[in-house]
Amino acid sequence: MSDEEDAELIARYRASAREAPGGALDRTILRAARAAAWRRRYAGLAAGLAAACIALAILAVPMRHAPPPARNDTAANIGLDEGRARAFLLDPQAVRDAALNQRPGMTARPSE
Amino acid sequence: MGTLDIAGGAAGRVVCASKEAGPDGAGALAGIGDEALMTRYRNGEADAFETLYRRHGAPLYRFIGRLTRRRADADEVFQEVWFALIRGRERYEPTARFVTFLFAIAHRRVADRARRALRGMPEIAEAADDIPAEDLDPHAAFQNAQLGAALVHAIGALPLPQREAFLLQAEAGLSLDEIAQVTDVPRETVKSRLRYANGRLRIALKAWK
Repeated sequence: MSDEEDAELIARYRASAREAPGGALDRTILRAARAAAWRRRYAGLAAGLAAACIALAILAVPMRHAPPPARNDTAANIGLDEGRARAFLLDPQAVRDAALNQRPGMTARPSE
Repeated sequence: MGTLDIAGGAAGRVVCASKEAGPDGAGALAGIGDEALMTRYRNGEADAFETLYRRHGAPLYRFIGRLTRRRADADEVFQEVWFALIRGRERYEPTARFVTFLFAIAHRRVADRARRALRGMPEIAEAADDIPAEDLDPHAAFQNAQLGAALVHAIGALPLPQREAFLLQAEAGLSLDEIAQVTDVPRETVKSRLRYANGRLRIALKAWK
């Protein structure tokens, strides 16, 4: 039994064998392969998009109203916003008089 | 569920329309090696898979069909093999020839099926070479009146390990070492199986010459 005879046998077999899978089987397998490749190719992109959507959703939720931070009183404004000081600030005439009284040599009171 | 059309008659053959583009399918990838194609597919290139499928689909189908004998079984195992390849694509490393990798999957699937179907029977890889061959049906072969058909018929009558070794050589083009790797038996065993198989086939063919 020589190699040539074996090769001839194989060649004869290859010339005779013609069966192939059916078209439906081809389509099923190729469709599955394409779907898997698509998932592989776009998995990163899909994950990025999903993360972006989640971030947007979080940002879109209205935040609870928080009160403005309290201002510390300074020497200029301490005690001016309440009580008698507040009443003083609400009277424009009193404020004008106070400003005039603070100028050197000036007074808001009429001279006697 | 009919038997596989072992004579390869036109009635039993269904060829996908896109196969008419050529045995390799997509022309742009036709010159690329199997291993490179599989690597491309692993990286998400679907056309690479299609080229591999066009290249090896029919030989693999015949290999499985001649081992399982029934068309329904062949279809199922054939699909399982390709699905296994798709699922395992991330783990594919081109350490051996792609065709060896592919037919090794097919060998395992057919062996699993045979084991499930014939509980208590030895699996293909361990089966003795001297399992009696099925009787040839001279009348059926004579009706074909063709040497090729008689050869295909004679292959179907070979003991399973010899048939598998012959088909791995004839359909997949595997070397002795690769057949040994796929079937998980020593090289000398493969050599012996092929010698017996070729001897039987020659004897069968002489009767029809």
